[in-house]
Amino acid sequence: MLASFYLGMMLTLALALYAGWHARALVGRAMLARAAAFAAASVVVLLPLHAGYLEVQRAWQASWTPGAMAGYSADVQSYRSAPPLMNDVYVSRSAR
Amino acid sequence: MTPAGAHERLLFPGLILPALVLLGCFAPVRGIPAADVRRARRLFGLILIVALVLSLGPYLIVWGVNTRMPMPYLGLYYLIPGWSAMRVPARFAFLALLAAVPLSALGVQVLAERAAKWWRWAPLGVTLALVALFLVELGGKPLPMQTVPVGRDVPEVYRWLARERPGPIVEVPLTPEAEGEYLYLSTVHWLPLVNGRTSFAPSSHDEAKRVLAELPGSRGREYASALGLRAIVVHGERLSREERLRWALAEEAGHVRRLAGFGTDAVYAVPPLATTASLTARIAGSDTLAPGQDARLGLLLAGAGAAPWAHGSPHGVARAEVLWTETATGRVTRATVPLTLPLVIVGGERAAVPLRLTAPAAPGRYALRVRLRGATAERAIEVREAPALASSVDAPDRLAARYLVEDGSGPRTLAAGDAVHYDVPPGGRYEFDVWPAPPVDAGRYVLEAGLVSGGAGPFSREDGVRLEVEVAPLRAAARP
Repeated sequence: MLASFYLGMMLTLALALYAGWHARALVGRAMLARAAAFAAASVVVLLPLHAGYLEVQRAWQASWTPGAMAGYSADVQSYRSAPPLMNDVYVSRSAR
Repeated sequence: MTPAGAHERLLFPGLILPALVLLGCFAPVRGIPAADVRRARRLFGLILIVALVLSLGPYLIVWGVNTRMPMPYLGLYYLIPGWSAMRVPARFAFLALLAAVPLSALGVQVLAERAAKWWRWAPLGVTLALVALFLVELGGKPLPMQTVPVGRDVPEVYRWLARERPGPIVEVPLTPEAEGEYLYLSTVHWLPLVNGRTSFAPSSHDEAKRVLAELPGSRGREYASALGLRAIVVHGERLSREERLRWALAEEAGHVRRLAGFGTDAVYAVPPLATTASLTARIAGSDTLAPGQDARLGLLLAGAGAAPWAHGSPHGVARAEVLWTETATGRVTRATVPLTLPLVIVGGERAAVPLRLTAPAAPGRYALRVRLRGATAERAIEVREAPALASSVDAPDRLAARYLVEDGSGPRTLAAGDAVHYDVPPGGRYEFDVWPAPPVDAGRYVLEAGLVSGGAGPFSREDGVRLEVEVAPLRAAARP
């Protein structure tokens, strides 16, 4: 569920960028109808799966503050820090 | 120690991928219609850049320092519903990698069509060489895997739970390293389970685990009963010798009744217990607040009578009604504040819950009334400029300790104490274990200890402690 939520948010963003990029080509009655059908079908499929999580989120007001998220954000330096599963040359060099 | 989330910030993608992306973005590509190349570059380039920027999170962090400079992620946090549920902005690097794939494919095309001029099989060779380079970059290290029991290897106790279904359970010991296994094995029986771990745990769950860790003590047993648990699963092989002995003695004394035993695993019954749903409440904290001050008081809750109080369903954040009545005018101001109530308050005990509220803007004398689940607490508060110092629990504290010795030259400090990290509302209680290293030299000392907060001196506070200590050299034990 967690991975699907992240994936859903990221792909929605990518799709939004795609739709924004091709706005002129996509804006049309036929495409809008298809997009609405897709959104409705998505809600029908996803809502039963997410309903329990939404209920817990609502009851406990579970959300992350921007300050807490900052601790889990990429640093400019992060893109030169190799994860331990990469080859040892990269790992040892990035650890410096 | 590794800071939380440190592994999420290891995002080096290797050298091959960025090189191919750069080639794909800027080198002339032949063999693909120019319009398609242009479209792919613009679209996936845009997604790549947006994802990279979003992975930087709500504030720009440079070399580990939060610059507090707002980033676009912060705007999306407030604009898009559900955005605040994502804890790790760095994971947007995955979207950046996804967008990098088609761009790197263009880069491969650039290399392949250049190589094709030399030899007809060269494109295949280039592709295979790139795959080999990618594998070298990856290092060929196996993913760390955890072996878990399946089928007949599942411990018998879990199959018994699935068969007998005693009701909600807790598994002991409640150690963080065991929680993952408990969660996995709960799929054998699917009984409600106290154990578990998540990145977002309510404070009431942490407290439940803390009290249940006292099992088989009487407080833990009462808490388990009031919580509605019906069985305790004890894994003897995970306990220390002393803990195993405690369980054995509790069983011998009849404090716990064994339902079943499987090797070192045992299941004990939790008898039901009458609880009360009535609360009594009292407000603790400063009597003086500044106008408009965001104050943190304590709401001391207890069950009515000797029975434990149990939080009924549904669980979640409760809301208390706060009324400020100005004594001179009778004018009433209302507000609602969220509270996380404990799941159980053991009989005869009080639970302190932080009560965050804003003092009225106008100075004067007020009656502060808090209503919660039928209980009402009242306290007279004076709102005026230059209030009394806020409670020390509002700031991170440090327990300072020193040994003093009288040697004719006046008192001198011989050792200092440790930082104490806690969050306790006024009226609350927190026990901590600090070991100020004793002086090396033998003699009689006075050990002073006190909390340091807000620049206040540690040894002038009323709640400091002063102990007389004798430091004597240890004699070596006589050898047989």
